Amino acid sequence: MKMVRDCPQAKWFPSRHRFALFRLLALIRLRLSEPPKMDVDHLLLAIDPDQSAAEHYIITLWIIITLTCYFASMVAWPIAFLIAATVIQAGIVVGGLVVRGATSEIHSKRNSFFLMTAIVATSVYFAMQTSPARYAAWFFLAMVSLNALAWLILRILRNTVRELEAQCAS
Amino acid sequence: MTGWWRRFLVRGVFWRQFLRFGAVSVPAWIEPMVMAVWSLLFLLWGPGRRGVMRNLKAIIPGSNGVTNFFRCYRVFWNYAWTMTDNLHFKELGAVPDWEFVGWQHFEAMQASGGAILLTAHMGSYDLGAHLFAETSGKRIVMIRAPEVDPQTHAFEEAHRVNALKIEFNVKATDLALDLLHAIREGGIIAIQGDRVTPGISDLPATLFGKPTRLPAGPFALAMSTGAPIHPVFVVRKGRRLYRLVSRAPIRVAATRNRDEAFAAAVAEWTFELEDVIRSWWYQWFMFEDFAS
Repeated sequence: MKMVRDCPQAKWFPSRHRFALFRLLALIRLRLSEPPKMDVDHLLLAIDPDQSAAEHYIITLWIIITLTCYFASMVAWPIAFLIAATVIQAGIVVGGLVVRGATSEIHSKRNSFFLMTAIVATSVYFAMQTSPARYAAWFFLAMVSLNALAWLILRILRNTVRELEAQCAS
Repeated sequence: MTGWWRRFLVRGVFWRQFLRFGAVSVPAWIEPMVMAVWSLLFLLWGPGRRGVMRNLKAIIPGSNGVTNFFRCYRVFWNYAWTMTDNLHFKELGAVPDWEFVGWQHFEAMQASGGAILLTAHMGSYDLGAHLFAETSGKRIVMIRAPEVDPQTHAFEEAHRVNALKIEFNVKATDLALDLLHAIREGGIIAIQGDRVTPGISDLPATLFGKPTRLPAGPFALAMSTGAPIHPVFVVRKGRRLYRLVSRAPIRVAATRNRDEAFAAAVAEWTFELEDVIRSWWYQWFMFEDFAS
């Protein structure tokens, strides 16, 4: 794994984010805002797509709210929340067992794809219903589309990203 | 006791296996929710919860039971993340971000001959030791208490990273000579100095105004070798972000009055320990009442 030393602006490197939308936002922030100041003696930052705390907390929260909205179209809100939390846990275990390969034990990427596909499929289903949950589903699908658009933009800007990230030598 | 159900006890191997399965199965974008649920479930662990709440009462004077219950949840939440980060490092090679504070003391430790790194059950002791092993040319020997459950112990041994030498603190006399040699050869001995394992020699101390017992080993080693004790703490600052805090070294005077020299060194250590725990109480993974 690539690490950068004493370069606080690396916190906003797009490659430290998982989803294209967040990578694009990170790029905008990196270009427009002042570089953060060093407030410690030394800093060692990992260049890994799962490094952004804000991104992962937002996504988690968004997924749980979306699923709660879906279940709330069938049961009361508090119960819907509990079902959503349980379904996610069960989905992870079931997904983990289903996608576990014979050769590799590290299957979080495949499980990620499995779970995201399941959530998108569920959203498509609810988007076609007449219940108010369809608004949550439309919003979810809109965000997925926006993420695809951000991916395209980043493809076009990939050289800019590379140059910006090269400012911190590893 | 060899009952099959033992693996499901709180210190049983099932939870380590399940945690490992989780670490390699849970996508990062849903991890916070998984952590939140499991931290909540671990609140059902009565002895651990009560231990943490009793300790919080001493760390934060005037705190009440209801608030400490929620604080206890925060301790479990941080513990869950720390264990997961450690597993991510072992299984996926995922390294967190690191901040260094008190770097001059850390450099002094690396530049010195042999030294003793004294730390606490805070943040990730394992991750800190791995970082040290990766960045330093020095040999580091970690001393730790063995797992209570034999199956859990075997599981941890099978999944540990080979770059580190880990010794288990079973009997004080068993290790003493090896550790003396390691320090004299310029190595660093890493010990957790905030909890005594049964059967290990200890020293009296006062922590947050309460009498307690702390391990005597690091202080005896420092006296016999002349090596300094470096208080180093690994604190979890946030998701995949840790801070390595190094404090000024403690020296144990080699005098005839051993008790006095030990008492002075222990007082210096507890001063540092209290200061760090007071700032990061939600990182102190002490699940038993520390007061003796």
